[in-house]
Amino acid sequence: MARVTRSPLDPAVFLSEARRDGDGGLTLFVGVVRDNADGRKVEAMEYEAYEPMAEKEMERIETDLATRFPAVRLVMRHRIGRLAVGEVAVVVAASAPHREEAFAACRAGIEEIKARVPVWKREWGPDGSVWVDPLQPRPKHESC
Amino acid sequence: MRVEILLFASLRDELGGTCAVEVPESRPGEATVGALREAFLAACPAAARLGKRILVAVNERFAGDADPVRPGDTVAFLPPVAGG
Repeated sequence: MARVTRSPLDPAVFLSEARRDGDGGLTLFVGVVRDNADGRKVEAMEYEAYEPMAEKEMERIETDLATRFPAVRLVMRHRIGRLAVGEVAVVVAASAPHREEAFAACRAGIEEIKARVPVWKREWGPDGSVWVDPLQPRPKHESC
Repeated sequence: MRVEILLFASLRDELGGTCAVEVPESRPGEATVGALREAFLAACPAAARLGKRILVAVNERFAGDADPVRPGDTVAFLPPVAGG
């Protein structure tokens, strides 16, 4: 399955995909769409990717983290398209012999995704939509 | 040389999916990412609000201002990423 996909993500699938019989600790990060942002109501998030590069960047993160955390098996997925509140946008599953590495690699995985993978999201609310800028205070909705 | 740039997200909304920019060559058949960024910002003032925060990808890999751009490369200008 592609790492960047329009299909719904079931976290349990990726947890079992990450697990190996020699592992005793698994961690899972699940990012979902929430119903608010800076006091505004959010109805949906529309995710867009530079798809071929996003796929490669996810692979490069996996390669980098395999060097940093050699005992860990990571499975990472990002969904794109229009997602309703509560739908899963991103999953990072980490499996390791022991919990410390599983927690650390899982955390590193989601932080790298947020920092490096060319994905953007447009927030939809009652008054229209706005592109989310991770560094700027969020502007009010522009009318659409 | 003339470089066609792929645009995404807010940049695509403002400027369309692609934008062709004429950039001075740093040596024959080659320009730098930094020169291309300057040429792009001069040609597309709407992108000035992002300025240096625009990320540049050459052949689907992030590139710095000193990196080269050559004919045939796939070049994309990306707003700050916001996945997750």
